Amino acid sequence: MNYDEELAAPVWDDANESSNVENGAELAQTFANLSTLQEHVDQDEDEQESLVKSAWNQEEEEPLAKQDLLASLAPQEDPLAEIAVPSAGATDGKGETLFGDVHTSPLEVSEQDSEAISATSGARDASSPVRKSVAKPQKLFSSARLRRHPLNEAQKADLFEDPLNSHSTGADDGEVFVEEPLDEEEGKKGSSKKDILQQMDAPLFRISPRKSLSATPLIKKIAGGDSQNVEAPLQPNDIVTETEQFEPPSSDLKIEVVDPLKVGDLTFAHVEYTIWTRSPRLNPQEVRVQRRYRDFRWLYRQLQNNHWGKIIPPPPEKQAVGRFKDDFIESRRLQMERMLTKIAQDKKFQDDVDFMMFLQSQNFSQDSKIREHLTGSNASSDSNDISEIHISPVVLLGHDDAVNVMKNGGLDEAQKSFMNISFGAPPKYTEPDGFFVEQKQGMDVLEEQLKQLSKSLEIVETQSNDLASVTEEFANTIKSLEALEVSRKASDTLANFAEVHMRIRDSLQRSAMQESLTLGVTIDEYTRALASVRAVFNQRSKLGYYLVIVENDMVKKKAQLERSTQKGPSNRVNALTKDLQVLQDRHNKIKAKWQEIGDTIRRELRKHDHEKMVDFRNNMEIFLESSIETQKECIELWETFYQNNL
Amino acid sequence: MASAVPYDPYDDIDNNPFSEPQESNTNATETQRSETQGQNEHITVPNPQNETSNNERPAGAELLPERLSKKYQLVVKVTGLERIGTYTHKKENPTIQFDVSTNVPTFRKQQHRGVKKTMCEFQNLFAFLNGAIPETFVPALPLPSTNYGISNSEDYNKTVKNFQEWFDRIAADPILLRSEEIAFFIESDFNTYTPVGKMKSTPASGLKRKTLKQLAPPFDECLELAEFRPLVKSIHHLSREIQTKLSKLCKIRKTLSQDESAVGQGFKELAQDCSQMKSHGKFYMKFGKTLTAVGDIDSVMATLDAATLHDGLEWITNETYTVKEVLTNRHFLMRDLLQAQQNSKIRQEQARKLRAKRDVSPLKVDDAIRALKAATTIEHELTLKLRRVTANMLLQKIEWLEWYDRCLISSIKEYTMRKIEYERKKLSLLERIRSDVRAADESGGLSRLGRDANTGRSASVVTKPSQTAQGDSWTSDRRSHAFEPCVLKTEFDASLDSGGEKIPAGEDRYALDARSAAHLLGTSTF
Repeated sequence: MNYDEELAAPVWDDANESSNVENGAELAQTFANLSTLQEHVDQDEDEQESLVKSAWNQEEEEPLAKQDLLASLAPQEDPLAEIAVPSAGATDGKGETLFGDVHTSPLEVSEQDSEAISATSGARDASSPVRKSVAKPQKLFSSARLRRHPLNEAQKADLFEDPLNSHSTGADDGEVFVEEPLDEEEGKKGSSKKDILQQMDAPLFRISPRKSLSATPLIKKIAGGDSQNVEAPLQPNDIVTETEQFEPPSSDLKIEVVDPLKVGDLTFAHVEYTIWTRSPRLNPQEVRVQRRYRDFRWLYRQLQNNHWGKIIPPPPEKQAVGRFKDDFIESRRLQMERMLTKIAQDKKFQDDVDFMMFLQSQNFSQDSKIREHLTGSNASSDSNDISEIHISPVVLLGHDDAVNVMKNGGLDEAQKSFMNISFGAPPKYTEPDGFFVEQKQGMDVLEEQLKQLSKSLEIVETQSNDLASVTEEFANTIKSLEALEVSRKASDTLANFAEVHMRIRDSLQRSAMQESLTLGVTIDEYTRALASVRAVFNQRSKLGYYLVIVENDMVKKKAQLERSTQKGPSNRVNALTKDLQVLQDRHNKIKAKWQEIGDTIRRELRKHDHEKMVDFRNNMEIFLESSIETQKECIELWETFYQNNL
Repeated sequence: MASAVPYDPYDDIDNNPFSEPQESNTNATETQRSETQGQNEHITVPNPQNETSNNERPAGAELLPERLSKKYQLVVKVTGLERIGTYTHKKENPTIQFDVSTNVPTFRKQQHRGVKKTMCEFQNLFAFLNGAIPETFVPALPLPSTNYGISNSEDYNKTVKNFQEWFDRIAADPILLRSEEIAFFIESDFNTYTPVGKMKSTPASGLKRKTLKQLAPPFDECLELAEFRPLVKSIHHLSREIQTKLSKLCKIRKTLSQDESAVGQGFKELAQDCSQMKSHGKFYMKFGKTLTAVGDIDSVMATLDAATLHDGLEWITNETYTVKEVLTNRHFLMRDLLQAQQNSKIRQEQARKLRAKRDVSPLKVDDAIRALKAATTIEHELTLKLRRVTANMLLQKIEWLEWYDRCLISSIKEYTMRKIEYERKKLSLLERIRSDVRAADESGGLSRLGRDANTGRSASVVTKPSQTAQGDSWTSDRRSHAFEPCVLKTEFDASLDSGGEKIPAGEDRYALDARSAAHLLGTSTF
């Protein structure tokens, strides 16, 4: 399957490339490549297929075209496919199709880009001698390619037999009928229709007595079908399936963060990243701007200010030392890209002025300051902790009132000068809603766990890298023993033994990288997102705090007014009435905001939880699938070694 | 002992200026031999030298008469292993039980049943043989315990197998076979054996040995053996190095497995506290458990790596060390010979001088002649000994290299098989949660791929394991036939393992239906 190749190609070639930032970027691209749109998957297949199997004949190409047509005509649902699912063959090499998911993918990638990549990777396939020389690993993935050939019944019978269908053709010759191994091909073949009909007629669960004994004695649930089905990605993911509750994360903005570049002299050195945005909505449809890390922080703060109660996808954490190391820059790049992609996926953020400005402005330092002043976001005075928040009075009270408040030194400042005289302590805000309290505690626990988990993951990663390097040492020592050439046979065996170990080292390194790119990145991201969630809670409690203050003020003002009115009408009464009016207004505004933010937070939390769940699960799935593949590769290596040498 | 001074066809070669035949020398050995035979109370022992003398002899046969006759046999069958006492005693000094059947005349009876020997006795024997028989590479003793850890069946089987191999190698060596010491060893009571025979010429030991080793080795006519020692030495060093690397690898793997378990634990904890994701609790739990189990498998693998390859290399290291030392002994022998040659030359010179003189006291002449005789005898003996040693070693070298090949490859093979077995177990473990991961919630999993129709949590999909008796699903290659049953067994083991590990949580999942239970009971023989 070419997903494999996509996934594997740059990594296999890693050794050949100088490891610079470029390298990591390519990896990310490969990663992104997995989430390419459906059409390109097909296209890739065609390209690669034609490269690898130039001997393809016409009859095969035609059905493929037909299949393309079919996909384009009925992209949403293929009822037949779903029927086919339960009887899908047990070809596990197909698990990787899971990566093809578009909507839940961490990275969005543009069409042109993926084309370019696929073209280059195709070219690499053809030209690079390295790939060819690595014959054994390729063999791992050869199964899918094999099945590309139209199989006649006899060949299929050779391949495997399907336990679910052996009954439908007759119990006595269970080996004769064999399920189509690749559902993908069903569209291509005339005979597939018959198969499908057969399957429709056949009961969903049918266990041949003989087969079930041999294969899975312990697993009770022999449910219908095999979950690996290549057909699935051929149907563009239906949005509705994602969730009924939340709008799917979809966006017409394609954002990439590319080309990290170190700029500035020694004292002001920083890394600038190019943000490459493409969207039909933008005026020039493609924009490239340079931004540095600080600007991402600014965006975060600004969005936080503009959308209270919304959980803003967090920027990466600050780091003082080692800022110019390649892998750090790469991981930061990835994190920032994910941040922007996630922001772009939210309908509200999509239309945000600041976000758009961030993506497009060529004069960012100026524009950002203007916007910051306008909104009173205080975005550039950014604290390290992303959970710390600043409530802009401008947004809270509207422009005019805000000016007054600012003059007095802010809402709580005004209070403080009062309070110092009247009370010892400022009024305290206690969260009236149990939901928030509970959530907050939950967050703390979760954060602890996630931190623990990510720490363990990190350790595992370093450990496996250690393991890889020691494996290499081991292999080298074996090689030197081999070099003694004590005897021919032993030398050969040792040489191959060392070779296997080198391969295993590669695979270890790859899986470590994979692990950190999937689970590691996700866990890290959600740890940071938790801070963002906390920021939202802080916003609410701060608003609540203001509410209490203003309420206090109001009570006091009311008392004053009452006292004054008892004395009789005067200027003072008028002024007080006016003040009270203002306070009343303020109170209402804050209260409204406070309630609004509560609602937003609830909604956001649900959404966040949902997204988190989906993300986690996706990554766990990817992790699992990739470790299964690694495992298979490992077994294959050892088996081959065993077969050839022992 | 009978073989220590072999028949010498060059006895009559005249290198003595006084041209006196060396009758006394041969007679002495002859009588000595008959004495030992008398001691052994064997009525008719055909002297190996006599019976081979009328045969056509291949080259070197006159030096190594033992090699010509295959009539003596020693069959040892190791039947058991006992580990008793304290932990270290158990580990270091197990008792080996074996039956012996032989027709070697040095033995008192032909059959010995249930002979028990401790590791210490074996070590004594080995030390003696190594010193007393310079001609041969005495096989190094196997390790008293394996890295499987003591008191399990794998260790038992492996140790027994190793001792069996050791005995086989002893029995295959005609020179060792004829050594009385073997008989003494086997016929002595349990735990009483100490070397009986006297070492005729103990090779230099201790500081002297160390100093002598520093000197450049004497010129070696036999190029093969001259090259052999450095080879063995580098094998020794490299095996050592591989061993250290391997232990390092195992150590890292073990810590890695712990950390993997920690990650699994982390997921389990996630499951416990995610109140908002109750549906996912179980799922995280399973995922975490599987990760933990995978970590456990890694740790098992580390142990197995050590037990297979490391132990194999350990034996090779020991063996190479012995071989190297024996070859060093040969060097000493060569040095001795050189000295003897010089000595006899001096004596000859003296005798010649005496002859040239007119007035010589007959006393002096007698003295000189005696000294010359002694020197020549010694020189002669040493020459013979060296020749014999060289000839035997040349033969042994081939055998030894074969053994080395076999041992190395077999340990690599074992290592590989274990690796495959456990990698497969890991795979089947991972594949088992695959369906759970995919069917984690109705709105996710396969539905993302447009296949939600039949994947509810209630009827979660079970993916077929990719490894079956029919071969692996990811490749069309057929596995070698010898391996086929192993694959199945592996899978079976793995499911048992994880079943054990997952009893608290996964009961509903791994519960047996009647059929698979029957199947399980039916096949659990290994």
